[in-house]
Amino acid sequence: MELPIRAKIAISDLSKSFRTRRGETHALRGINLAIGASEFLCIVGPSGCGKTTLLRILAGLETQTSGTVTIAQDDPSRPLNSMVFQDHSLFPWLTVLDNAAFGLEMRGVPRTQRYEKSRALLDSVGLTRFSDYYPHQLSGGMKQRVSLVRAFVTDPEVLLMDEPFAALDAQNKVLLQDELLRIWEASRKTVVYITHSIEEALALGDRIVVMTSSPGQLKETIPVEFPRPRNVFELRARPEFGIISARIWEILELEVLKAREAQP
Amino acid sequence: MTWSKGALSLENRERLLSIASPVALLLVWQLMSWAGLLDPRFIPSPIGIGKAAYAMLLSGELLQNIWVSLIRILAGFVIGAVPGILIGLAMGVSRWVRAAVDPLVAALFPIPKISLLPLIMLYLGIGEASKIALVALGVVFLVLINAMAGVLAIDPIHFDVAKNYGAPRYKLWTRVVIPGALPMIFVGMRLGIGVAFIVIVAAEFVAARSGIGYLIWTSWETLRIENMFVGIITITVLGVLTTLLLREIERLAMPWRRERA
Repeated sequence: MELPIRAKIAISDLSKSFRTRRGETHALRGINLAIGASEFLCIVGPSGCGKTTLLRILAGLETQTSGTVTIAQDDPSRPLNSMVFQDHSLFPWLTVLDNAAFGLEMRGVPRTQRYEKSRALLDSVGLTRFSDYYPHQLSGGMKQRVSLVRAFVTDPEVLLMDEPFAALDAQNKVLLQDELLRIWEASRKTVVYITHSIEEALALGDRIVVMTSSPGQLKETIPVEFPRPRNVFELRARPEFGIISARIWEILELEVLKAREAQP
Repeated sequence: MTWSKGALSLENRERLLSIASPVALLLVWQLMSWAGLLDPRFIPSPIGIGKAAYAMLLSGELLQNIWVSLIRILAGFVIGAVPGILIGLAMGVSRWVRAAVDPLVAALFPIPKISLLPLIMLYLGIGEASKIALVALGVVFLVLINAMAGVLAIDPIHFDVAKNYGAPRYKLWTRVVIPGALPMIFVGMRLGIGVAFIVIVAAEFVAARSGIGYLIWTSWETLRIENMFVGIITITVLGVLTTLLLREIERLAMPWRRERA
C-alpha cells in the first residue's frame, strides 16, 4: 500500500472484540491504515462489518482491544476530532444556534464568540433564518446541515463522519454531499467518512477503503482520481463514475453476500 | 337550527361545549332539587351549597382551612420533589447509584403512605411536621422514579455527542441530563401533586384540627352536608388550579415542546 506523505491518522494492528453470551465476537481484526493530512478517506463495507466501531474508536467513544491509534495534533488549542453523527443526534431541547455552537460551548468559548462563529457557518449552509428554530421543526436535510456546522465550527484536527446522510432521500443526499464538499474545500481537513454507499464514497473521497464482513478487516484500497473542487451532480453524470462504482461493487459484493449468510 | 360553517372555529366550539356541559349539569341538578326529586338531607341543591360556601367565606372558615392545607401540600411537595429529582437523576446517570437505591425504592414505593401516619406522628409529633412529611413521602417516589426513567429514555447518541465534544461534567448535566429528563420529571410532579392532595385530605380526616380534610370530616360528624360538599368542591378546584399552574410552568420550562402538535 502506498503511504501518504505524512500520516495525520495512524492506525496500527487495531483489533476490537466484544464479549457476548455466545463467546467472543471479533468486530475488527488487524487494521493497519495511514490517513494523510487533508485526505478525504471513505470507508465502505457491508452492514455489521465494524466500520462504525472503527470510527467510534477514532472518536474516543470506544476503546480498542489491542493496537494503537494516533492522531497527530498540530495545534493543541484545537479539538482532536469532531464527529458528525447519524440522524437524530441534535439535541431536541436546544435551538439550531445552540446546537451548532454546542462543541464550542463545551470548550468554554464565550457566548458572543461562539454564536458569531456558528452564525457565520449556518449562514453558509442557508440556515440563518432558522437559528431560533428547534430541531423538530426542521427537515432531515436541514438537521444534518446543522450537524455539519456543529462539527466544522469547532475547527478540529480531523473530522469523523458516521453515515451522516444515510437517512436522507436520494435528492437531499446528493445536495448535502455537494454542500459538504463546499464547506470542506474551505479548510480541507482530514476526513474519515463511513458509508455503505459506493456512489457516496466515490463522489466524496480521495481514497476508498473497502472492508470485509465480520471480523472487519481492510480488503482493498481504491484511489479516487476525480479532480477537486468537485461538483457532485456533474460527477455522477460522468460515464467513468458508473464504471468505477461497478468495479468497486464487484469487490464489495462478495462481502455483502458473506455478511448476509452470517446473519442468524 | 344549523350552525353556519365558520361562524365559530372548531376550537371555540369545543371550548364552548366544555363550559356548557357542566353548567347544564348544575342546572339539571338544581331543577331536580326544586322538583323535590332529590332528598336535601343527602344531596343539597347547588344553590344551597353556594349559600353555605358564601357563609363559610364570610366567617373566614373556608379560606383559613384552604390556606392550612395548601401550605402543607406545598411544603411537602417541595421537600419530596427536590430530593426525588436529584436522586432520580443520579440513578439515571449512574448504574452504581441505580443498583444501590433501586431495591430500596422497590420496597418502599408500594407502601400506602397514609399507613405510615401513626409512625410519623410518633416521631414528629402531631403538629404540622408529620403532615408535611407524609405528603413528602407520597411525592418523593413518584418524582424519583419518573426522573430516573427520564434520564434512561434519553437517546444514547446524545451522550455520545456530549462525550465527543468534550462536555465537562456540569455541562453534561445542564445541557443533556436535566433538559433530556425534564418531560418525565414533569410527569412525576403532576402525579406527585395528585397524590399530595389525596394524602393530605386523608391525614386531615384523622389527625388534624384544621384543613380541608378536617372541614369535610367535621361536616360529616355534624351532618352539615352542604358544608361537606363545599369542602369536596374546594379540594377539587384546588387540584385543578395546581395542575393548571404546573402545566403552565411546564410550558415555560420546555420551550422546545411548545409548537408540537
